[in-house]
Amino acid sequence: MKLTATQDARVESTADLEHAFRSEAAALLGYFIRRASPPDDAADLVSETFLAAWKSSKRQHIALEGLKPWLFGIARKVLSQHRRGGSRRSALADRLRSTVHADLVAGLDGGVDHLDAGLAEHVRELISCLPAIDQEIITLVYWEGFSQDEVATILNKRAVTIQGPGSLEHARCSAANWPTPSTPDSHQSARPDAAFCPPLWHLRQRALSAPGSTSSKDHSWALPLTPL
Amino acid sequence: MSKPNVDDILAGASRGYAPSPATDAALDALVAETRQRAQARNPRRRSRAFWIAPGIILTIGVLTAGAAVVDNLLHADLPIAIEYTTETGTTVSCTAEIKGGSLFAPRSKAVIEYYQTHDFSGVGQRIYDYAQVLTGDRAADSGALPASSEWIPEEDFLSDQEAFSFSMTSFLLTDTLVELGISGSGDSGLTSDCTGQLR
Repeated sequence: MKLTATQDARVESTADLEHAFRSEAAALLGYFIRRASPPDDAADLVSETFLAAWKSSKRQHIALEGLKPWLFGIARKVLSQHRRGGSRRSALADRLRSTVHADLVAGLDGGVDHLDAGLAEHVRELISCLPAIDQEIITLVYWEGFSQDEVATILNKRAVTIQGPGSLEHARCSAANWPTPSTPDSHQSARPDAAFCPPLWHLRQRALSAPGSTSSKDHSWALPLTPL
Repeated sequence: MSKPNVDDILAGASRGYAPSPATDAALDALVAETRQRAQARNPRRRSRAFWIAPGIILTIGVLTAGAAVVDNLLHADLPIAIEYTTETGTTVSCTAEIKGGSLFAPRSKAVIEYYQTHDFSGVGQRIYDYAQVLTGDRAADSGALPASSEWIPEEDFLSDQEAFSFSMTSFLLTDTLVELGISGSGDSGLTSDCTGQLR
């Protein structure tokens, strides 16, 4: 469904847009909580994103089926500005800031089911060592659930390439510290920070050998790199 | 115990978040409030000041002969890179060149040294942010204003091109005058291939 230019249709479509924004609001908040420092700033970032999105929607027609990556593209810019120190507290976000703070105090930001907490933290540390573009792709795909095409929209690229820098495969190989199939020889030299970022399986072994680990017999475990 | 693959590891490292009902309600309210705010025009503040330091009469225009040395030294190697990202994600890159002018001539050495050593990284985004204030698309905050200007339009907002031009001149030219303590009268200016795109 696309917004139309007539006044009556725009009124209806604006209601549709508000409904769509509400549908994505929790995901947007989670995105900021996972990335903002401190997480309490997420409320202001959500507020700024929606303000920018509403203003932008006045100037262009927004296709509702592509709304989520478009909205997260704005969110990415808002977060970037926040990291440069350019965001500000908004009275609009007062209520949300209060409830988010209560959620965080209550531990609602937990919920990691698939990995033990220590390993999850190690993997997040590893991801933070990756080149910025790989971090973005990895987290958008694996944490936010976007497809490669949607990631391209968010990153304002025409398309996420299949291989090479800026591709999901490249990001995934970087994460596993596995030679990229297309550039097996150049991969390591292209990552000057590789020495500081141990591969996932090292992290895994470190976690398994930690005191209190219950899975130490899995010591020889290594990461298979399955086809995308 | 089955061996997780890299996809499981990466997905499993996500820090989950489940908003409380109170947060869900606050999000719904926020969506409606931001809609109203965006549709109502940005909050306006009283025009508080002027945009050029007292005592300076600035003319953007033709160079005088006495300024030729300054001008040659400036724009020979000083195209300043302007890069900014609009709120819709469009990245814009362009350049600007300072035209020295007679206003700069008495302090030519200091001016040349300033432009040759000053770190202009990030200036493009600041130009964009202030231009948005001038068009009424952004509420002003102290971080968005150039040092030489606290002008915030109350009603008569500028067009995109006017706003960008004014903002760029403020950050690249009049801020320099203020920082170097240059006052008086004379010519100065800049040229740019920026189109003033703000959307």
